[in-house]
Amino acid sequence: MYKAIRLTLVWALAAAFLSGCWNRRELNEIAVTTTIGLDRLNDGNILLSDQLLYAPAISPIGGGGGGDRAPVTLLSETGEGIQLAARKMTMKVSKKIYVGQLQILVLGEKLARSGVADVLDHIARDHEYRRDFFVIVAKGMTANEVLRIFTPLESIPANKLRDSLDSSSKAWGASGAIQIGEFLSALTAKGQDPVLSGVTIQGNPEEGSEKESVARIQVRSELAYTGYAVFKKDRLLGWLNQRESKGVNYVRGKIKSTSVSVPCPEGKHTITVELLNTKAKMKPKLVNGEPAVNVKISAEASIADAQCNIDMSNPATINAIEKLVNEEIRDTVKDAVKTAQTDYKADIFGFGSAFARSKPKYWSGVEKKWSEAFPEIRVQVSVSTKIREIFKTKRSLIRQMRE
Amino acid sequence: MPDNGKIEPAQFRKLVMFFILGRAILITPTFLAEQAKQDAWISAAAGLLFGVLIVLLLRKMGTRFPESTLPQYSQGILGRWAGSAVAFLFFLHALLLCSLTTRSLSVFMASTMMPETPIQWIIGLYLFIAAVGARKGIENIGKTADVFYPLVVALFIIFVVFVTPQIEAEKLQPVLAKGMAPVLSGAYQVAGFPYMNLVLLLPIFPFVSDSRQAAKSFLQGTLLGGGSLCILTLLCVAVLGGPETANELFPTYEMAKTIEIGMFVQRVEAIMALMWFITIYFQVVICFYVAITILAQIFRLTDYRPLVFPMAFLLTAFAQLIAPSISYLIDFSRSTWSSYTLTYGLLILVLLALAAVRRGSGRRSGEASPS
Repeated sequence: MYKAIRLTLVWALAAAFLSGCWNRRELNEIAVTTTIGLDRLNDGNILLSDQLLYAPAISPIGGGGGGDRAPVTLLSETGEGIQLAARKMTMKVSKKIYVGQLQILVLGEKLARSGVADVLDHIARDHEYRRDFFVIVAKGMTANEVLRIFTPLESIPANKLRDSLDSSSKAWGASGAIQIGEFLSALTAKGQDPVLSGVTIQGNPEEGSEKESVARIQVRSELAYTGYAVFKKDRLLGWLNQRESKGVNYVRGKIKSTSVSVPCPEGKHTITVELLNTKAKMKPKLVNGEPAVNVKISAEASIADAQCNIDMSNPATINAIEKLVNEEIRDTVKDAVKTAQTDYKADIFGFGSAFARSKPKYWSGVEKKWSEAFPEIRVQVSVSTKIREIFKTKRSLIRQMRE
Repeated sequence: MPDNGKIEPAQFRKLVMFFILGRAILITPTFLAEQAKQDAWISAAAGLLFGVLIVLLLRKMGTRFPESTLPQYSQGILGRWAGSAVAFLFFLHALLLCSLTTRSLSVFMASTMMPETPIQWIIGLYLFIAAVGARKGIENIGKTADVFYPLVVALFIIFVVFVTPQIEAEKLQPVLAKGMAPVLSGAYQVAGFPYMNLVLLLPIFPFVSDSRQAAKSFLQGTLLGGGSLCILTLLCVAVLGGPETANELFPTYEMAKTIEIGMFVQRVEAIMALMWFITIYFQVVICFYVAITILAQIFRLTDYRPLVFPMAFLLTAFAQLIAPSISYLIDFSRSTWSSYTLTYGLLILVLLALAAVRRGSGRRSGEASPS
């Protein structure tokens, strides 16, 4: 009898605990959002735009293209904050929105200019958001507009935005694949101001939001990345062009690979080298009590395109090209530093945090007035490029023709 | 003794290690970084030094009374009533630590993984497993440690290897920019939690089969656990940075979220969390076991087992009552716990030791073992 009671108890317990998690969510009960847009409205509220995946459109069985429906659906809702707007949004959607697979967060330019810290607290706090999605800023437009555009090659816009940001930051270096975790740390870091990549619509936004846009070989409008958005604390101040953005990435050591063009030693054409393995070192120092920073950049390069009359089996030629590349990189960095110091007074290179690390005494004196001190820093840039490869041919095509 | 079981010195070493890691693995880096920012790891190392000193003292006490348990010899030294009162204080310490740890685990579950699950379920379930473990006796707890030890070690190594690529060494700079003061106040934190809690392992000491080996294992376990804690703190600061480690409630979990090896090893933080479910389990089960055996001995019960489930129910309520909110829990851990354990653990123990020396009870060091 006693044994029977015990058995029953065990069964009851097993039934209670094995039947599933408390807050389980079945796949057919959630709507996965891969891109979220945030905008500031005129009344100070925010506009939350969620791009939700339409599951049948992306399943390989359903024919890939998804028939006559768009592969994603855009929902928007206003509210004082993300959480409020997201919960209000449940009035419009049949499923619970799941943000754990979020790939891209787009901030509208207006929101970015008005400050993002208040809006992003929810993302830093809530357990469902991860730290690995990318953050970008919609340049000159709202995030909502960006999320309406059809993308060629990738039917899900989030995939296009993510992959193109990733590949462009690795192969070209004028943008940065900045994850939310990194951005949030940069917001709170002392002596460093954040940057974010910009995205914009090239072409006609109205036509880009029609499915016919991607039915053509040449699309009517597409999403393209631009240079960096410069933030001061959590407010966007302005934009860098692609060259300046590359300069920022050189200093931060974030150039994985890029191409640099320099004029031929003689003549009007250009040589393009492919940079590999760039490294950057920042050395803050005090010269007579005045702050200065030495930026040392080293890179390995290969000649990728020579449009001039040269013979690259000659080491002197290679040395001459190395020098030109050094100068070009140095000028790029100097341009970026100048813009940051004069136009924005925003320490996007992290010079301040370099001082905080290696000159803590000096830093504790200037920490409070770093915005005034930063524009006065003397920045010295020294670049050393080593050309390693010339690839398959010794002499340029032009040289061979003239011989 | 209320339990006739014995554990091997090696099992004791594993228990010591788990007991140190326990709840500390989740939250200690944040309390250290609050004080010492990027120097948190130095604090952790300094705290470990303090921990070793404590263990040396505890060992002395343990080898002096190798055959009798803490309530027995405190009654022997101080007499029936005063001795029982002292033992009761240790009982309270175990009770409080057990509820604190269980509550912290449930807060962790609620704020990172299962926000909608009522915490009384998490607490109740966890204490149920702890109760079963404690009911089966110390031998069972030791063997459980044997079973889970390889898993914890493997998870720890995988964790360290996977996190290493995210290290940014410059986040550790500047070293000692604000001098030793913040580092020491961090060390004070870590001395209070987990090292001062080691006093609760003293009642288990007589159950180890070889008391001389047990003394060695005690130190080895402390070094293993404390060393792992130092490594975790160092990684937290190097990956997340000092200020962010200080601001995250559970920095080790946040760090596990950054793991990304190619496109395939990512989102593994839940697997990593398994590591602290196990270590916290041992902390809870040891506190649980110590609490009920002390109680049984105070009241001269021949068997502690009837106390197990009532205690589990008591603790289920206690873990919820101990803090009205998470803010209270943080504030209590930060500002009260260290001084609390210092008075309870260290002060009382030192007084007890002095009394023992004066009365000449127990075995003096150097004396041969009677067995």
